[in-house]
Amino acid sequence: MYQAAPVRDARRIVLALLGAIAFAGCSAGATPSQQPSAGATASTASEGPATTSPSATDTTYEGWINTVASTDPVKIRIVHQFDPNNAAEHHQETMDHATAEWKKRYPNGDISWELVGWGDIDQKTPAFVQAGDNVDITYNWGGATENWCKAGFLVPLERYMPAWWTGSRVADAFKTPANDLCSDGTLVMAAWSVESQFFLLRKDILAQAGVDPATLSTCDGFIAGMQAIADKTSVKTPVALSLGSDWTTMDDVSFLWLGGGVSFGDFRADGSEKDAWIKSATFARDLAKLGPEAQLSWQHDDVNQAYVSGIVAGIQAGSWYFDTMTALDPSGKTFRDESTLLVPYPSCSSDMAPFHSSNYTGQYMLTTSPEANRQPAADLMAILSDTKTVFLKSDSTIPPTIGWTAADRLLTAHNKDVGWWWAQLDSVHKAKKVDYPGFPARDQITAAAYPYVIEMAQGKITPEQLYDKVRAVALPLIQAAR
Amino acid sequence: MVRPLANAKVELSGRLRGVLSMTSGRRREGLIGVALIVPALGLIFLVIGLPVIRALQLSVNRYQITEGINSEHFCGICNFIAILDDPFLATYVRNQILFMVGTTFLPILFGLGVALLLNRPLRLRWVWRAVVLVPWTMPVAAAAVTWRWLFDQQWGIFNYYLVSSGAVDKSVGFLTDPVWLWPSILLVSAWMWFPYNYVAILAALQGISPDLYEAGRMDGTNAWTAFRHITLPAIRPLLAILIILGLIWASNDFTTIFLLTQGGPGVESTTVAPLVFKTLVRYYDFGKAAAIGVVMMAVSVGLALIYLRRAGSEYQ
Repeated sequence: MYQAAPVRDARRIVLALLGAIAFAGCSAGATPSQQPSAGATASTASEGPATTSPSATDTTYEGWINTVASTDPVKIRIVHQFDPNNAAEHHQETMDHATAEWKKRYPNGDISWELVGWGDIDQKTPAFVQAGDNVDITYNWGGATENWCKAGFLVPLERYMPAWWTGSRVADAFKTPANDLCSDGTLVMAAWSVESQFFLLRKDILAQAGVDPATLSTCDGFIAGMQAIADKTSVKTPVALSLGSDWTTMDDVSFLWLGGGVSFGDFRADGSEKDAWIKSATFARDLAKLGPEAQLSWQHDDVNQAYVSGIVAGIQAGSWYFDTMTALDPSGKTFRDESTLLVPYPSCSSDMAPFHSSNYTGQYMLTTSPEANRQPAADLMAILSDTKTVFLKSDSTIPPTIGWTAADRLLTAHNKDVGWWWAQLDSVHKAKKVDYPGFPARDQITAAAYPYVIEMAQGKITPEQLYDKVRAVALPLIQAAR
Repeated sequence: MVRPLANAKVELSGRLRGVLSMTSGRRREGLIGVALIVPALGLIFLVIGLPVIRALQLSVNRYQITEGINSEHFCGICNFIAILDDPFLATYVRNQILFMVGTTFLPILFGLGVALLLNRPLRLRWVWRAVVLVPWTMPVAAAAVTWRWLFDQQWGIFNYYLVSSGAVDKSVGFLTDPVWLWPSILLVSAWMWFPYNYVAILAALQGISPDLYEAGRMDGTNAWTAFRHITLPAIRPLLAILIILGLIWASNDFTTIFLLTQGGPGVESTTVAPLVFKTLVRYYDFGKAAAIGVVMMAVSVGLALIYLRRAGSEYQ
């Protein structure tokens, strides 16, 4: 009896599970009732009337901000990335200033600031939407935009944003492709900042190898320069890629495709992308081959450390690395003029110039935002995305927002000792700019492509085979997504 | 005639009352018992039953959140077909088997060796018995991250000594080189799990009567034959249970692999648990992730049944 009992109980459990499977099959397709209704794209997401309509006072910031929009006790929730301890970027001041400004329009309103770190935002946002959690505003970088558009997470912004904002911001934002827009052109992000992407190279190591930076403007020249570093110095991994996980790999290699004139997810029915795609893949393969396999386990932090400690000569980076790197250097001045060079991405195509890429980071309005909250939420987004707030001076004065130079930004937000950084950034910005576009089915394509990209880096498959394997998976996904 | 009948009736009625009264008492007792376990059962249903049912439902639905928050629809076995169609399925299965077998048997072998050693008279034996428990006291996440740094190709202390001693020309990619990848992972899991096995085996060893060894010595046994014919039979039931439990735990382990390699390079060390995580929270394919989870659950339930049968047999 004692022998049989546990087994019999276990059989009952199995039978119960089988019953549950049958139940699951019968009730398939049901979704939790608390989910908000949303269409397939943001453009069809539910839209309600704005609580205020544009008026003459909307055309200037001063007129708009000093007009009370509502005296109702509205409360909005914003999920944000502002670290109160990040004194360099004045995050606490930013939040305080934005709250004070917003309260001019909603004197009885309240803002709930809820910090969610960058590492969690991709996972938590779908959870907010699925759970029907009434978060009004969230954030991300523009690479997430297309996914969130397709998932129906986002509320189109045009109708909610004040005239002064659309006049000064949307004109630029509408130059598609820009990743504050869905692929159908719907504006869904109020950009907080624009991040430039390029290569950072150690001047000291380039000099040791006798590499002239001017030769690094083509893919072939870049590979030759890096090979010279591997041959003539003790640096055995000239350029580090973060191949240790799927997302860091795609973060690093996808920009390399732009040099061939295509994006990683650019697959067309007529196959016209093939040559450019393979050329870019070859560039990525050659970069990966240059170093030992250490980068196969590296994440972004490892790459940063390798660069700072001189184990690698170059990294693919964004302007936000400025703060990260400063923090890594004991002297607080890692980005010394004498040691770091900002280099545009090389072009792999004869009809392309060297270029830098850029993408937006900013706030999105979620479909979980209750109708009554949407206008107040949009107003907060407009305030936050205004450079007056973003680059508030440490003495609380506000610089002019039009006609800023890099030096203005520097003097406002950062220590002037690193003025050379902004000067170099300006020189990079003189190169051709290529917007980094999101592409349909990005996550599914990433999932399918990542193991193959690593196999290519390990020399197990050729760039041509990579193209064939990724295209076979990606093209149907892209066509389905469209 | 009447009296005896009447007496019989009275007697019967008394017995019936007794039986009824006893049945009623037992029923009441039974009802109280049910009432007492209902809260626990309800809680278990809420935190285990409902998620399992939802996972089963998801596994037969297509639900990729990037296709729309309301895009979930029934698709039968499409997710299971997608698993079978995965070009890296063979790699995942190989990795899972390697990890389950290695993470189960290596710690048991290591634990057995240490338990045999520390079951002998030793100076400061209590100290050594405590020291070998240290890996067990470390949080798994902290241990995995520490080992990742020890193995690191650029900054790891193993490579520092290997290169500086001249044992190797260039640093070894313990977590990236296909030759070293799995031995390194299994070394970490053996290090983390052997103390548990050691404690269980040591307790079993201490339960073996010294008289058996004494009798064996009189019959001419040596150390090996004593281990084979006395020790091993005595601890075999425990070893069987440790193996089954080890297989169950290893089949679900996420932390070790994910913190050491994130399943890489590529998918070279991706086992089922990290695969579920990636499929769910990186690629938002809820249906496929649930289907993988259901397959994993089926394997665990199978192992659990074996364990229950074994445990029942031992109990009897």
